[in-house]
Amino acid sequence: VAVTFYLVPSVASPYGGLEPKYGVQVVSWSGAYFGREPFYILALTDPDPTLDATIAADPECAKIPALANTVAAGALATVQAKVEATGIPANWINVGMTYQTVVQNCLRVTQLYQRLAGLGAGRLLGSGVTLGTTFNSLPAGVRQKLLDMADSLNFDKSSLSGAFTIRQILKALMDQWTEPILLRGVTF
Amino acid sequence: MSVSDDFNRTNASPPLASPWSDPDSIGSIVSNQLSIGGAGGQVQWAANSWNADQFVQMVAVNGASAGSASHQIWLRTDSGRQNGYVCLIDGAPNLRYGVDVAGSISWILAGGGVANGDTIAFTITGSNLNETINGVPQGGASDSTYSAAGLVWIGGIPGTIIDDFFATGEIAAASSFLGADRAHQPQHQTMMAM
Repeated sequence: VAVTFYLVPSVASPYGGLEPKYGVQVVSWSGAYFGREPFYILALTDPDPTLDATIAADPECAKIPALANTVAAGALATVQAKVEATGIPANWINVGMTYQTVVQNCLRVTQLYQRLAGLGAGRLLGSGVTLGTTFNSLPAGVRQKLLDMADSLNFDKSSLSGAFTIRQILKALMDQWTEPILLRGVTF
Repeated sequence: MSVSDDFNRTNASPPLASPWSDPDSIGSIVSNQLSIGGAGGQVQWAANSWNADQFVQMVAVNGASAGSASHQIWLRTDSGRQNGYVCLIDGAPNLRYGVDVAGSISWILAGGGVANGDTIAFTITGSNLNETINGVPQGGASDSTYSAAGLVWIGGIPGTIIDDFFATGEIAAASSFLGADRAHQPQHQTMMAM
């Protein structure tokens, strides 16, 4: 069996709440949700080729190549753009990096977004806030939620100050994540 | 600490009696099983507090035929049955689980067809979630939304019938229990037949 990973938006689930776009079209799927941000990393085992092609062709989605493959020079800009479109900083993605590492770091950021949601934070991005927005320009309540999130994970908070951008903050916190993350039987 | 309830006792109307808490008055005992009525909802095992690591299993007597959102297990939740993790049988009928944040559930796994009488279970260990049907894992995922201990609830839509509830904060003991021997039973706080 082989697991294929995709970046997909979240959609309304027929069972209430949210689920990954295309999840309802398969019997069995796993996903990492992005907290209040409207995206998932969707994982499918041996996906139907037609569905796989449909997701890959969907401009809202991105199919992630086999984990052992590496990011080619010609693909770097596209990969970075697709990742950043979901709210995950991508300036750490380099030519030659395996997609295993790309997915691992993306999953680490999903865990940060999840904890933010668990602490009662609203959506971080949107309404004029981007990955380039600086910490000191965020509302006080949002700044406090970010600090609480870092505290709850016992992470260093030195990036959570002043002119650091959300992109820099998420990258700094992502780098402190050491726990394994499980998705669809694959440990990252 | 492990607890169980086989619901083998005299028929009784809602609310479900102690050690359960039944704030919506939806749980009744019918033919030695828990029957969910009213508008549907959940009952809480209220006799114990829980560790953050939680395991709950139960028999979904009519799991394939009760309809969507039947046979629910809620872990690490608050008293309002929000802000925690939920596993339920959907209309497929598959087992699925997700994260409730302020009343909105983000589903993070679906799979595993359910038949009437299957034993379904939902486990959280640290940030790892898993669900099983008759002891067979249906898929695991990591989630960091909630890390603290919370309350344990079971329930479903009206017409949901549940039997043989078992729960523990000791995951290793629960795994052994799934091996089908009841050697652990004397250590449990068990509701005995009346």
